[in-house]
Amino acid sequence: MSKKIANKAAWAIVITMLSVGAFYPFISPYNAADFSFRPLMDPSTAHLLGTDEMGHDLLSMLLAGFRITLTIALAAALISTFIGTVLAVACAYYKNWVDTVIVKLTELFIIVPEIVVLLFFAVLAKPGVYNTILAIALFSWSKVARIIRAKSITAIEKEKIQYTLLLKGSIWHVLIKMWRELYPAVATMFIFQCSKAAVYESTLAFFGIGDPLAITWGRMIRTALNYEGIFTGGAYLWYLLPPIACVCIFVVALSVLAYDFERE
Amino acid sequence: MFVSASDLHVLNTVLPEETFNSFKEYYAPEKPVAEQLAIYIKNLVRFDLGSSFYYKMPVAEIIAGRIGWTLLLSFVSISISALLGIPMGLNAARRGGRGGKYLLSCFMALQSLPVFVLAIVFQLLFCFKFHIFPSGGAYTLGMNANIIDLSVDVVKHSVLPVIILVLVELPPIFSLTYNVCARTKEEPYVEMARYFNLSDRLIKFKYVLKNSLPEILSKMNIQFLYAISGILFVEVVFSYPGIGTLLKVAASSRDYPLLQGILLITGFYGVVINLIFELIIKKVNPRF
Repeated sequence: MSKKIANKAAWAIVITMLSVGAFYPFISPYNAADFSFRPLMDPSTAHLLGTDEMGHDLLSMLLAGFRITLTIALAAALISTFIGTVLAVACAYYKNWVDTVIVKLTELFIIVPEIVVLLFFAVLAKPGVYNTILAIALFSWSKVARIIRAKSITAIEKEKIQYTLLLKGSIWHVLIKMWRELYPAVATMFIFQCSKAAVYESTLAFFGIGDPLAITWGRMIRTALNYEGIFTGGAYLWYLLPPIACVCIFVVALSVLAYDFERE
Repeated sequence: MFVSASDLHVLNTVLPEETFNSFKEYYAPEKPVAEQLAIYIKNLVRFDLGSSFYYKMPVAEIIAGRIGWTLLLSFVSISISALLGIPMGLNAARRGGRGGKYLLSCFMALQSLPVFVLAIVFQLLFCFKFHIFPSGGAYTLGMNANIIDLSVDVVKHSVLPVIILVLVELPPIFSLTYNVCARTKEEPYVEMARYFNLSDRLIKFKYVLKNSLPEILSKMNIQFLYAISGILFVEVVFSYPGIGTLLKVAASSRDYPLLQGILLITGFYGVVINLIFELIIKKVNPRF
């Protein structure tokens, strides 16, 4: 019973967050790029979360962060899940050396942590939202590939897929035929990748890499920590903690969902 | 990393001449790629990782000066998590029921949080609100004390980073032990031991733990490798003078040779850990 409530709450949180991201211009009190307010104001009815040291309204920035952070998370997760799934099915389809090479590649990402490789390439790339998405997507598919590979190796033995192979079906035909078997695992991995991409995005921003103009939760955390007096007054309460809370709630809600999918 | 002539042109405009020249000498970008690779590998064999832009020192020297702190954090935190996680997993699996599952899902949520966020919250609470622990560094700078005071100081500075790392590393070790022991518990020889009315303690250690340990150990190397990325972020938050802070500096100042050196050293760490674990597993259980 409690599991069901947790699941429903997680869905509600994720859907609310996505709709805030989609419709934030209608609920945002000010323009997020407007820095004409008095800097470092405490929360008041005009500015519910106060203003930062530049004079931005913090609530507007937080709401704007919903859109960019969630876009990065969804897009990167979509691409990385796709790459991982195709590579995993390729393992089962071609076997032999293709399988060996892909497995070795995923092992490489265990030996060198993804985030370190990701940081390395994100520094080399031009800063920008698209490059952040690509960097996250290109270096986080290893777990998807590992898990889907195990599923596809058992799925390919099924009769209907063996028929497709007999009829010389291409890898795409096999992927389509297998979809029904793979779908639950792929959906779980997609949710998992979303949360991982959100974590990676905030980590990159925390390291000061990525688009310096895009307002994301990670960048808000970074600028809050860069501000000298963050811990001396109460400023952390409305400056640092809201973006941290957003990241945490999003990530935990997703992991609850992924966990439920996995059990089904 | 192979440098093309156009990249070099960009660097030429931003770097001081001396650094630029050493960079050029190290990578030799005017030569063909195959030759660049040969030169690079030759340099690697001699432990020459090039020269950092930011520190204007050889990369190998900088990393050698910092790696001790990172290794200290990693070994202390992993030992503590293993010593806590394995008994916890074993007991939860032995008891069965709801407790273990509940703990497991709590840990799952904890595990999905970004490490640096956890570190920031802890720093906020214990350093700036309650002033229990120092907020950063590995030791008090400029302290001119004897060895005992110094070690107390080092321990004090490392308590909070280690606690956070244990929080991050404990969940995977716990769930691994829990799953493996829960499976071992169902084995026929454990059932048999129960029919013989052997004591619970004996069954727990001699039957369940002893037979689960090889499998746990064979998967522990992955925990070691995952731990390294957590350590890097915790270090950054606490400005602990290890590889992580170095990574932060290298990333924000676009110090390519240093970044590359760090990438190589983490890869090297991974390979060494894998080798060590293979040896341990061979000793514990020749079957694997």
